Amino acid sequence: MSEVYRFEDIQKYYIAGKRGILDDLLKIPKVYVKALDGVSLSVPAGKVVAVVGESGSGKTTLGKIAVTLEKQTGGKVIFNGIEVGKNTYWDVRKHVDMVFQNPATSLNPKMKVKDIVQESIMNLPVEEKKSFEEEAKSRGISMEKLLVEKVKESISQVGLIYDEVKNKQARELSGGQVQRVAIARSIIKHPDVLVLDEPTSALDESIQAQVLNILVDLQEKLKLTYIFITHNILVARYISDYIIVLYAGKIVEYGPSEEVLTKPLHPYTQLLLSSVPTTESKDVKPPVGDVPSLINLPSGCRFHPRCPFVMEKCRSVDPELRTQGDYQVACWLYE
Amino acid sequence: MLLSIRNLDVSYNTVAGTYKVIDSLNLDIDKGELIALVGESASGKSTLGQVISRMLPPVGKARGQVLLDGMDVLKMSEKEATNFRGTSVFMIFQNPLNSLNPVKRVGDQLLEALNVRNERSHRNLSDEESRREVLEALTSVRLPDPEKIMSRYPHELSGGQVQRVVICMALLLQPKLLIADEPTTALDVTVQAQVVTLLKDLSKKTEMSIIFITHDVALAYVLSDKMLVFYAGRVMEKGETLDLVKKPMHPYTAGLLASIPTGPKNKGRLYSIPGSPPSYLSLPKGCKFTPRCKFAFEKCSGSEPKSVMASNRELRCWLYE
Ligand SMILES: Nc1ncnc2c1ncn2[C@@H]1O[C@H](COP(=O)(O)OP(=O)(O)OP(=O)(O)O)[C@@H](O)[C@H]1O
Ligand SMILES: Nc1ncnc2c1ncn2[C@@H]1O[C@H](COP(=O)(O)OP(=O)(O)OP(=O)(O)O)[C@@H](O)[C@H]1O
Ligand code: SF4
Ligand SMILES: [Mg+2]
Ligand SMILES: [Mg+2]
Repeated sequence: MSEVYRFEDIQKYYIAGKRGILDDLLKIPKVYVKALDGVSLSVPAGKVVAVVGESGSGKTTLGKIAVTLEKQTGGKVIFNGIEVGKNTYWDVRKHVDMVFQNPATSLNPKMKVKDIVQESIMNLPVEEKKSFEEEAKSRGISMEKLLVEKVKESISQVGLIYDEVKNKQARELSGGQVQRVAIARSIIKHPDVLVLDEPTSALDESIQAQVLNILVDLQEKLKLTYIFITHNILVARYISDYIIVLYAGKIVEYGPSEEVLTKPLHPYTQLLLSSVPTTESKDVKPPVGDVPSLINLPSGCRFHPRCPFVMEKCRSVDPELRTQGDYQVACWLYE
Repeated sequence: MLLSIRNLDVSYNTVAGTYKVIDSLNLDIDKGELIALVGESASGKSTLGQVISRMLPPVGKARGQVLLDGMDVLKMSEKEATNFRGTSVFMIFQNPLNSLNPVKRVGDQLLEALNVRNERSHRNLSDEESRREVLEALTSVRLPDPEKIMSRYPHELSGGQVQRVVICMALLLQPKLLIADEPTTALDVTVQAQVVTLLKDLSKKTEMSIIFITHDVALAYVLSDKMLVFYAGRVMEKGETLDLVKKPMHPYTAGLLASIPTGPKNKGRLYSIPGSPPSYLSLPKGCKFTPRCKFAFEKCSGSEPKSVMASNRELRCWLYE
């Protein structure tokens, strides 16, 4: 299986709080928020990888690093064999795009739908726009005409009727429609990889179902790779081939979705799953305790203060992510 | 009976026109009962909560009868309403910041809440005891550093933390009826599970009734004894939760349940109810679900079905007349 992405020991440390010049003069040590703390991962081409985990576990940060919106503070990102860095940003950016958490706030509410979608091509740098100009030339049509065509195509690909929505403002659309416009705005660039950050969490169930169906159809038709960020386990189970479970900036478990969800190995994954309400059981069994501070992480395994199986070793030594076939888990129970 | 609602109609007066968002609703709730209101966005769930807690904004007009804890909610004076909120009923708002006073420290607001309950039930607590009780409540909603949280103002907390402070306020007040409007949307599943367990326990211990508003059917299933399914301001179906989820009878309920993902995508595409919810300004004639209903027949678009009882269910659908 070919891989699109390889993340090697990615760290993303943010500086906590604002620093004044005095802090530097007095050599007050910087305090870091360890949003990602050693994430290694391979993303297979043409598959859907879901990233799940609690709020603050680093899901969005991982997505932003994948699309080069943030730069890691340690480690390497390899995209299609190329190491991602300043000189290669556009090699990545022309193939990947991100649909952001909460489109209702990330799209301009007063802009017309057709302009929102078209804008994403207009915002490309000159060299990248060239391929569209060449296409227009070779087909003997104007750039304007080509753009209208592309906008039309991507709007209908997300299941909206172009003539009905083209002149509407984002604020005049329903939540499901806004979400689909945000997706159209990404696919118009013909990406190979889409990072989708919580694309359905603001939607009602029946609209969520519509959007998920469209995403699955697009992925299959256009052979896309998705990095699908969600905290909804049922959605992750439906859409993904693989699931990554993040806990406090680290991958604790990664494997084929059905395996991870039906036979979770990591104690955190087990507790996360038993917190999810389903119509199968009247009970939820949440883990005790809280997500740890990302500034002062617990020693050893970062889950040990909440783990029902904690052993002596867990308190002092951090377990590595161990691979067995296409399955990975970081826990001393499986050494 | 703690709460009894008869023929409730609620309309909003706006520049766009006057429209009715709740139509002839009846509802009885007993002491200690756990009720869930589910339904799509804009179906009128929050509006009902606001009517019961006497928090409907002035543009809203409610008609009918709402009796809670022996009081006539729609007729009571503003002064009576002030005492009523907090003692008989407490509402956790969808936007939790609305439930807190922005210029008072969290700790002071929680202590006030505890005092309301102490006065009501003639408990005599020293300041130290009160403080300890507040701290305990904060710990029970899994807020780290409760001492620090007490000295903060609401805007200094994250959305999830504000939400938990408000839930904590409900724990301290112990009203007879708690209306919780999407109280866990801003929370992680793990915290949500903790909060849900907490609320269920509290209800068992103190016989507090809860109306739980959510669009998450699975969550409603876990939490409630009875479930009300809203569509376009109407209760389309009402029944015992277990029964209703296992065997939905109204076509809308069935569609809603079918659209929840339960397996992987290779098991097939998800069902989604065709069309979109109607606008209150131009509601369809007859049953409001007709244009989207796969069972619709002639009668459905002719006139609107009334609520009827069928196999221990309350249903608003011509299939069951
Ligand atoms: N620009 C920033 N500066 C400082 N800290 C940041 C910044 N961006 C994110 N963080 C911190 O990094 C951690 C991970 O954040 P991230 O947004 O990746 O989490 P997430 O898993 O997407 O959470 P959610 O489910 O709430 O969206 C959090 O503790 C967050 O506060
Ligand atoms: N103050 C108001 N003035 C005018 N219209 C209102 C007002 N409050 C609510 N509405 C309208 O009444 C209808 C029902 O709204 P309500 O907030 O009760 O729905 P809901 O079921 O709680 O939805 P959600 O799940 O999105 O919270 C909506 O069409 C809404 O726009
Ligand atoms: S390493 Fe130890 S503490 Fe961490 S999850 Fe495994 S058993 Fe629990
Ligand atoms: Mg995020
Ligand atoms: Mg509401």
